[in-house]
Amino acid sequence: MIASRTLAWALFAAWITWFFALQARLSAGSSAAPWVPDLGLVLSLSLLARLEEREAPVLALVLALSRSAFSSEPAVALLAGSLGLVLLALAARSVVELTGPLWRALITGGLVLAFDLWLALVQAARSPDAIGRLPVGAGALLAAALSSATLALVAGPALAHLPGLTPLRRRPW
Amino acid sequence: MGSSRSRTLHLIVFLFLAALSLRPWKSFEDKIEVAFEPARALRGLTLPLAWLSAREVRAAETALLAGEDSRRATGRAVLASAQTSAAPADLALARGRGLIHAEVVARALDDPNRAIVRFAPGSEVARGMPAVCGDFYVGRVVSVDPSRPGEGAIDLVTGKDFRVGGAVFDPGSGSGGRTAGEPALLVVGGVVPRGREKAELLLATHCPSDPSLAAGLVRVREIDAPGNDPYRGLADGFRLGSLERVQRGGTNLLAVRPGLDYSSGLFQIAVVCPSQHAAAGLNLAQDPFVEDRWLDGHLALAGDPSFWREGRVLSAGTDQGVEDGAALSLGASFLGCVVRAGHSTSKVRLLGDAGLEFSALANPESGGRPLAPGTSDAPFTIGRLVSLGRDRSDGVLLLRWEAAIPLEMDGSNGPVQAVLYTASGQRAVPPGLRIGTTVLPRGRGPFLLRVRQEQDGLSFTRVRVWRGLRASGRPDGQENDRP
Repeated sequence: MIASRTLAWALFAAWITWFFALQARLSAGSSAAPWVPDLGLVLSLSLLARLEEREAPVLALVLALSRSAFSSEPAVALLAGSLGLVLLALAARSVVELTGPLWRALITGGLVLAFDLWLALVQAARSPDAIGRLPVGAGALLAAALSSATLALVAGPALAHLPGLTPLRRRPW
Repeated sequence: MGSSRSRTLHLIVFLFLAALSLRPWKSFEDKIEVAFEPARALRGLTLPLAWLSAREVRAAETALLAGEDSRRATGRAVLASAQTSAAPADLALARGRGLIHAEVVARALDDPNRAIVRFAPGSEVARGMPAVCGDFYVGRVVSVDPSRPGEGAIDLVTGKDFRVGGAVFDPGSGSGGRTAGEPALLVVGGVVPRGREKAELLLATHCPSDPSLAAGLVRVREIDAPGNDPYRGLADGFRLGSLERVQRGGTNLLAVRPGLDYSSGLFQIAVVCPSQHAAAGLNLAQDPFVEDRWLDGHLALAGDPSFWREGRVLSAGTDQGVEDGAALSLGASFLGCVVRAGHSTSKVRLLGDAGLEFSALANPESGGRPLAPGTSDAPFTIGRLVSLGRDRSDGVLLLRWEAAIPLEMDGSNGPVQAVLYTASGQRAVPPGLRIGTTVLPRGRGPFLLRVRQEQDGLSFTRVRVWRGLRASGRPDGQENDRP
């Protein structure tokens, strides 16, 4: 039982790493970068809708570790962001049904917006004299949230059913 | 997190991490970075993604390296030309004096009014010698580090306790009991309080011999100052700036408007010494193109999951000699800096990552060639630039330029087309690396510069990382390469 769950987490780490890599590659130098959905976060939130609550911190850790493999963000900010994201998602899950299409899309969009806003805030806070404002516009943040919400609406269940993740899904769809 | 207790615990952990993210605590953050470093091995899973674009990346790298020899030669010529700006243009100031070229490599950690400079090892630089930049007085040598040959510290005139004698050559001379042509005397040192709005930097004046002074050119005059300093008269005649009256905090003050940007535009200077001490010829303090001062590195997959950032992961770290802040280049082109060096990998920021800061000098373009040293359109320092990101529509870099000292050049009053190069001022970034072309507006800033790079380097996989002098087997500071 433990071995299968460990293997499932390892596979989740592999999946999310690929998703972050793809996301980074699609964003690099592209004028449409804000419209690239946050694939890694959408996958995490799709799984979180089905995950046992006691395992949520593991998801936060895997999320932060895999994103840090490609990111120049400070590791502590990624860890804080992913833990905050998971806590917010759990709070939302206790109020609404995250497996329903509408709530799934709305909550995913909102949390992607909050996560990106958090990272932008940390970047601005660490070089206040240099930037003096958020390094990314509200329109771009909304675009990323909107595309992520759309992806969650269309492909959320499919992402949660990626090969190898079955042992992590506890709640029925 | 089955219970509310565990939720509370996780909330506390989150708040702790969030606070540390916004107000970094270096030792703790270093530990987390070390703990996260092995996760970068996960990049190996995604190698096939990099293979997809390998051909076009290689083509872009080859294109950038094509004109490498001429770009290096131009970079060296620009640096050599920029060094001439340290010498006074007024020949009367150079007469009878020796000048030792020095390059500002950093500011003292505990005192921004103290500049760390590098000069040719063996130069007879001594405590008390004045330092100048062109016709302007900058400060005086306060120490020469015996453990690092060729390195010393200079106290700038902007320091709170710094004092230098001055003479005012004002149009209204003859007032205040002075005879016509006789200058008024005063003492200059420190800066006028700038207030919360951070008003422009002006030098403070003390004890003017004529309280009615309101304007005039201020030059150093120390020959008759008390004391036994053998070098005190060497700076006489160098300019401090122009005298003016200003309102600060409801008070009318007498201040000196400097001709230099002391806060971010001071890189090439000359130490004034008795003529028999002078070093011969120019000294390229840091030749940026010596091969053994660079380390070959490899960048991981292009892009950053945060779409507005331009970060990459470098497959080299402190074990290979990479240090925080080290410059990243391909050939002679500046691409970015290492932001955090781990043991075997490092985080890198490319030039389009908002918040990245570096110093630059500009070489005005004339028919696409750099102009002769000493001319009015020879390379000049423009000071600190801050990246505000990249315009995604056309890929140009957006850089903020303070332009505290407006451009003064002969010819038209229009903007100046120029090529930007890195300047000295940061230990881990060598001067002379090409940044890109831009148009410099005239007047007082801040301005937003649109800089076009030859290649943005966003997808490059091959880079070089500056490791300075440690690799060459010489102690830091023992460098005297000539172009």
